[in-house]
Amino acid sequence: MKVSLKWLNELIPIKSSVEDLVEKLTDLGLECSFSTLGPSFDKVIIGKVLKVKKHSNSDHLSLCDVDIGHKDSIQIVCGAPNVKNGIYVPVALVGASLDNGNFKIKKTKIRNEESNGMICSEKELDIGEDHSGIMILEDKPIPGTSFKEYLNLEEDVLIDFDLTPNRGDCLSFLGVAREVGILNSEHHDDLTKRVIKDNSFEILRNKNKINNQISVEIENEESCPVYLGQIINDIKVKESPDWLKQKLNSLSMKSINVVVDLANYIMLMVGQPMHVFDFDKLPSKKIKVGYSENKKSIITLDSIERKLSNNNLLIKDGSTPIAIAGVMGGKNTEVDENTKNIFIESAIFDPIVIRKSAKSADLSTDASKRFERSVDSSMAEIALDLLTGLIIKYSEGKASSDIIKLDTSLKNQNKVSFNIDKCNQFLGTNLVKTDIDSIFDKVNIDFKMTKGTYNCIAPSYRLHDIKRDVDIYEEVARVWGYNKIENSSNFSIDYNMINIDNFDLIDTFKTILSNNGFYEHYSNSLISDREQKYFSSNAVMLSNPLNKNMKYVRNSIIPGLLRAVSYNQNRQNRNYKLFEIGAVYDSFENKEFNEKMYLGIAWPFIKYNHWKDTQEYDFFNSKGDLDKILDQFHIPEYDYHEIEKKGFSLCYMIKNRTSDFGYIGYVDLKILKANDIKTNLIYANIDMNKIQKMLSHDTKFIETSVFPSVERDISILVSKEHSSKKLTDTIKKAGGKFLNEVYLFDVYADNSFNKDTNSYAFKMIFQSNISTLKDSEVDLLVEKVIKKLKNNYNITQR
Amino acid sequence: MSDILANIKKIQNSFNTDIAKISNSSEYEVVKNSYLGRKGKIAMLFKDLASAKKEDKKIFGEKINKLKNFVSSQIDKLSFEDSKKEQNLKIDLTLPGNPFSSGRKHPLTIVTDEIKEIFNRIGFKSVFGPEIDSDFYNFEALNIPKNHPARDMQDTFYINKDLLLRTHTSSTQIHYMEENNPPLRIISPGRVYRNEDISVKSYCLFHQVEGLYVDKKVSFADLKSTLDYFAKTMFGEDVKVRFRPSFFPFTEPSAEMDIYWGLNSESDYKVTKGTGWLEILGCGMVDPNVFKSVKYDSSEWTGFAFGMGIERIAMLKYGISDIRKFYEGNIKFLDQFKR
Repeated sequence: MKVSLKWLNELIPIKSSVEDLVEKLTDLGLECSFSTLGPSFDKVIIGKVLKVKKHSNSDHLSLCDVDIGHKDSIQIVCGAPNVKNGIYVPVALVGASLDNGNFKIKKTKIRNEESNGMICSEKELDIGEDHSGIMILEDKPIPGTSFKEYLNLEEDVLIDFDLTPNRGDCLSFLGVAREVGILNSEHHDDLTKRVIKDNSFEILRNKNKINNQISVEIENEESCPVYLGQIINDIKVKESPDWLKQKLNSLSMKSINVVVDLANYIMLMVGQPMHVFDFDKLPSKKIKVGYSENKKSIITLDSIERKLSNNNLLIKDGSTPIAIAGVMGGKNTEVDENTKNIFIESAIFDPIVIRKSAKSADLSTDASKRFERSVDSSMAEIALDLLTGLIIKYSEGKASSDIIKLDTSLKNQNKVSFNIDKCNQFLGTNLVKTDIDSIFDKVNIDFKMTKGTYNCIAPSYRLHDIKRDVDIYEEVARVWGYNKIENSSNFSIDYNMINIDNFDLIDTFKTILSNNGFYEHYSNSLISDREQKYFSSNAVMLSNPLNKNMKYVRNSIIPGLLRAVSYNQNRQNRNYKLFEIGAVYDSFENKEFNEKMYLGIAWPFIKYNHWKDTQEYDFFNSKGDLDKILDQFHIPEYDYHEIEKKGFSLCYMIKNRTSDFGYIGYVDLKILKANDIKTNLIYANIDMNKIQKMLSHDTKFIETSVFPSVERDISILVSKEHSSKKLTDTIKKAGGKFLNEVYLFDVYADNSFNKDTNSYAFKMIFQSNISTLKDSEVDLLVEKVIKKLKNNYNITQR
Repeated sequence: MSDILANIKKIQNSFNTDIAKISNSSEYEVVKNSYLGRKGKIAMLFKDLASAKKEDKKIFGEKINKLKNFVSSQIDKLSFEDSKKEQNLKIDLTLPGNPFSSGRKHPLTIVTDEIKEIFNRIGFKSVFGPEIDSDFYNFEALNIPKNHPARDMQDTFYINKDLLLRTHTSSTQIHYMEENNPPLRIISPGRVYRNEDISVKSYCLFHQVEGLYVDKKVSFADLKSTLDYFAKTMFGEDVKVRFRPSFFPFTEPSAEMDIYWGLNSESDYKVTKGTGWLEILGCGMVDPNVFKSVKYDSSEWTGFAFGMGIERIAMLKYGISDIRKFYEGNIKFLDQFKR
């Protein structure tokens, strides 16, 4: 909602500066900002055409000698048919810019004749639609006067309201003025009466009863509780008077004709949208309010053919749709310059009905915006009378002797009980009766007291919004001032409410990873059709995606990481590791979407170069990173098992006796290529929920041995079919309880032994808790280990 | 007594001569022992001190100590240079160190953690909910019935008629209230989605932290003091805060909290629309209809709720003007956010 300050000032005197007003209205709950109004009309002035000569080189161009208030007149070439001697016109001088700065006036020669400016039409000045000729100013202003001054736009400021959906009552000048009245202590009723009086004009009536001329039937009463109609005969549809054009122009609304403009004017003034039909274009004069029976579409006033659905409440004549009710009128009954007789509709439509209708027509209009947010039904008849009076004043004609009046709106007023103590408790205030009474007076809440309790009745324009005690608390708070309510001085906590965060697995992972060389990524979790097919066969599809690249909810963390890797590669960012933790939807059980929380880690090709040493990452670096990270948590021991995995050329599942909680592998080259990634990429995935389930927070200290340990190395040749993991496990088992630690410290595969064998070197550390182990004891254990390895794997010792 | 003073002087002189003559480590050991050894010259001086007059002891003692410190420091210096020579530590210390590799938390994680920590201190526990949720949890239970104009405030991604990508983390609060009885204090951080065109200022998803406090006799003044505490902790003790009436279907009264950002630069004018004030969060007293949908008795319980966008706060905090930067994964961007 935009409001011209000058116009608003006609309704209620603005006593403060605009800055102050905007701040105070914002504090009242009407967020707004201001800007100075409209085109600047810089270098546009009033000119008087002194003399018109024919252009020697053209049939339709004229040479005009124009007085612009200077000693010397200037020559302007003009093509308008209505230019003539002695008229007063707006002149854009050289240097002026029109059409929002898109059209700059320059000194030119038109067919060899010098032109020092342009005489303008309404359309060229962007203040009207008329482009048939130049704008002629009948009131003969003084040449040289600036056009802006002439239009009296000088001081005007536009206040732009960002209204919340509950404040439909402020979608009118009257509504905004009422809020200003709260600041100025002007009572709402007085204000409303004055606004009505200022716009009331005598309604001349003929003797024709309206029921003899037209009938109205409402097929669905809930959708249209009030329908009022008025016929005016013998009108002349003219251009709007200048004051009206200027008012509409100040809000960037185009002037159409006086009838339509006046209907818009009353809507802006009091908030009641009305529609005017050309009475003679109504085929059967049998108006029905209801849904479409057989017609599939309607051409609306904007000349667009719109498909009709079951959601569109219509105004029909017989079965012909003549308007989408409360949204937009039909082209077939449009008022134009030849219209003689009109039918005015002033109705109240149900907010939800209009909202559905406007949504389904994908059309939001000044009318639909108001109906969706509830229109004050007490204003429907007043608005109709105001419009009728104004049309008769400016377009002549006479109104029917009476009006159509169908009104099934509920008249019982909802009483809301209100108690000062409860209000003070709720708001944390110490308001007394005089405070409350004064606030209620300001916002026009009527009340009766019984036994200390207020029985409140909201004003008609707030009925939809003030229904409960809390709604009244809000009125009290906003008028009293949110910032005047003092902060409470303490914030008590019961011991049973001290409930701070426990161990958070995700936070812990993030900390560990970010401390160990991994950068955290947040990727767009909406992915394309191509991406959703890479790593999973299931994905949740959106029914209304923003675009085709964001059609699915991610079913894997990898696509987002691939995008980041590609992004960094294209910017020559090298040697980093990335991770992301986020929600993933990759499976559905019983049509339920199960949210998974996954950690994804990506190792693009990494080569750390340093003057001391250089490290090039391979699978075992990644695996080592992952093991070290998992080692920070108490989870049962796990193994890697080779698996087939969609989107991976090589993949190992990570699994322990509780569950398989992750995997690590090489992403398929084809996918990398499709994402323009030029190096290998290792990726690991860990299921956070599964880790959470098997976490143990029981840390028990184990006494460390005070006795020295003994180290022994063994070097063996073994067939490649036996994994190091298997060998290590066997050694551990055979070594017995004194074998504290075993690790592989050398791997050598060389054709000089046998191409099917590996050479492994293991280090074994023996230690006892109760005594120093003797060499002979350790020798026996080592022998046992070797024997077992020989038996099980047919190894040779080197 | 003057014997002692003369001796001190004599030893001082002979040390200067001896130390200058040292040319290898065995000579060094000899000199060191002859002065600082258990029976060395300085130890002898202390022995002599025992026989000195009581009133002289203090002065002589100080002088001997001074000599001892001087000798020790000269000997140590020699020893250090000697070891340096032996260990061959003549190196260029400006060569770069060889570090372990380090990464970074995402700036949105850093800001979320900070907000969580601030509310954690006053007993607000973090709770989490699903990103795909039903119309009931995201709208209906929050007093946003179908065809309510407030649905226009949030353009929604739908999966089907009932399921959608949550538009706020208030849905998590409904889940939590269904499963827990008041009193409660929670915050719900998480990712939310809006079907809005992607631009410098808006993205199809962002992150929120929403808070909820339900107890007996919770007042609007409590809401103000809690959020005032938050603003001061987050943005500094001197921050100026204001509350403006607003509208959210799930709170009544509703408010927006602004902080005074100032008008010190052109960009300040831009971000504050010339007012100097900056909107930080939305809040309000929980609407009784919300309590009704989770079967809390609103005559017994009152509460307040609030919500804020993490991106917005991070953009302010770090001076980031393009929201899309958060989701690109540019290492050069991520690397800038240190603790």
